Amino acid sequence: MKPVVIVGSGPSGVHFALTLLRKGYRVVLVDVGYERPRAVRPDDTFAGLKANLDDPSAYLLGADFDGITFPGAKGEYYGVPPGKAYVFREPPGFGVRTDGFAPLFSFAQGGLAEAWTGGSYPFNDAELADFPFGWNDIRHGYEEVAQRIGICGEIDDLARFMPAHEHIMAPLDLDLHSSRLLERYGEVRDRLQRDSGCWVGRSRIATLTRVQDGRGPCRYLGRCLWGCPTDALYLPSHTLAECRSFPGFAYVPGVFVTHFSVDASRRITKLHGASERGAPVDLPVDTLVLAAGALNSARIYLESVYRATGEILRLPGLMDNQQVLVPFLNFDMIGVPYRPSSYQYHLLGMGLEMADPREYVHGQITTLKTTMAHPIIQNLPFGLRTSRAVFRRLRSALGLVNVNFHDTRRDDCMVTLERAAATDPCTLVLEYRAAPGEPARVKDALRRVRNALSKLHCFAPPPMIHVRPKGASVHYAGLIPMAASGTDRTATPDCRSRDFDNLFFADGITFPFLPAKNITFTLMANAVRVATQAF
Amino acid sequence: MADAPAVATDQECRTFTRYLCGMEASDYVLHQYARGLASAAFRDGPPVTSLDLALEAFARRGVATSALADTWARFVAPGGRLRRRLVLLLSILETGPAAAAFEPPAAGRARAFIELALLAMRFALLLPATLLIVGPLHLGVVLRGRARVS
Repeated sequence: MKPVVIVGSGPSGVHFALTLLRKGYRVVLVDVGYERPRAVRPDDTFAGLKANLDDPSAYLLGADFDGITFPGAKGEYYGVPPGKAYVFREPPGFGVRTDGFAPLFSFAQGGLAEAWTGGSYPFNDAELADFPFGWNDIRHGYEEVAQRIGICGEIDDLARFMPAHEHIMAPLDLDLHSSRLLERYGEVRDRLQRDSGCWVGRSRIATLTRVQDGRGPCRYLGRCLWGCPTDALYLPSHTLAECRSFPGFAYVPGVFVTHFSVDASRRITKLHGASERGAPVDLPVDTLVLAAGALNSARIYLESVYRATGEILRLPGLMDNQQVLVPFLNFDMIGVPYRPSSYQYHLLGMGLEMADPREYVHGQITTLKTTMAHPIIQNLPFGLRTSRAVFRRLRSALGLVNVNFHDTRRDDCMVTLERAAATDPCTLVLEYRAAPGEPARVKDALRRVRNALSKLHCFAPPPMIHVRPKGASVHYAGLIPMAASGTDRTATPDCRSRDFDNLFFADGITFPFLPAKNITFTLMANAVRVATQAF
Repeated sequence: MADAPAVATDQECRTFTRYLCGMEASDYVLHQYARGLASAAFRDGPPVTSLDLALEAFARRGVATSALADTWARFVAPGGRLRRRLVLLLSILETGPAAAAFEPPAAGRARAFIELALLAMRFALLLPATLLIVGPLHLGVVLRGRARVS
């Protein structure tokens, strides 16, 4: 049996690979594969790092100070920490031009999900209406992934918007601020639901609360953003490590895949790429699975078609969740002691019910614990000394809701290539236009979020609300949609290309709709579903 | 013996550290600040204007002038070079040397509200002072620029 060749080690690729390996297939995984650096002082808390490192500035701000958010960063309240720079490093030969879209790319082992915050929200039947399958068809995938990666949480009020499934472990300990918010929600629950259509509950997070497969539980070190030093927060590179324990698995890092070539019957025969030094790399292919992330898989697909036919295609339907950051101040928490040794990311979620359930709005509520404070301080309306003093006294009371909105496939949001001269490498081109009516929809949702926060004794100052640029959520999808029937440039329900018989897609490129939920859990579940059903 | 620009940078760092956190800059902070000013991340900012230069020179005179120049810059030139210098130093200070100055003080609820009220009052006094002192400085920069153009 010839091996299945997979491109990309992100969440889709590694779970596709692991499913095939467990079924006895041989797998070759081709990847650029920049590696995660080893954790620094894994037993230290965030405060401990500041006290114990010889050069804390180099670790927290970067040797070249790249981790500083200087004024003019367009309202972002946190930057990429230096320890995560490997996630966003780009290989030689990669070029992109954008219009209305600010994407992030990853060529790291584990892909963009190496920098995720662990939110694991299954799609419900309404959100799967455009998919050629329903909840019951993908449920096994979700449960399999939940078992593999470890998801903690509770089946509570938010289950109204996201189905319950097996293998959810006990939730993380709440920090004091999150705990107070949840208590207050209990007091005003009926009013909040009636007046604001708002439900609050525990986030479901891919973080362990007990030992599993050699990974330990969360130790509340407050270092999530800088990279969990104990591997409690799941990363796809954990599954890649598991794949590498199978004798039938070959990992081929250091290859930037450019395209595949096809024979006269449109079967893929070879995969082509370049090493880090630019040397050509060719691999024979029997079955190819693109799992390089929606944008990179589109690039490989477009370049392959161009090399085979001379035609530069245009793939419409690019989707990404609009995200809006809503900072808030909880009056109940002013003057309350502060415990930095706690889970740093979101522990609570907020759901806004909509008339059309597909337009559900999801908010991740992160109370401020450990953080680099200078991005927040510089946004306060005072000089920096006063801002620091004010921040210090309000620190325990600060939080942020990251509000996510759904997206749909549209013709004017697309991906294509451009090439200046025949010898030049192709440049990926991305164009995005907001949906008609989106500003009004966002405005209405934000009014409801602010209203809900006020009932929780929180104030969200409007000038500090930040609409993130399109592309910032990194939930890219929609360019070769799966459908029960279709023509060229679509995929079958088992994510097989309708253009090339031995090509499968395992990432978000086949999603025909994008709910307001982090898609990583669904990417993994769908990869398991396809690898189980089609192989 | 240190060269003149290095001495000036150290002096600037000491003044700004006293302004931001009310403490003396350690050798580590002085070293990191000088490195930070030379880094591509710092230099990769907007073009330097004559207002930037005037505000920096004014701020270097002492803690009080730093407060006035920074407050003016917050509203008039928030992305300017003075703010970039101060944010660079602030970020270095919070990585450890002055970490406690970013943590909540051990105070009860009532004391926190009183301290916030005092901060608000101090800022309310600082604003008109900034307008009276830095406003004319800004106006001078604008007029000098016009005179140069004409």
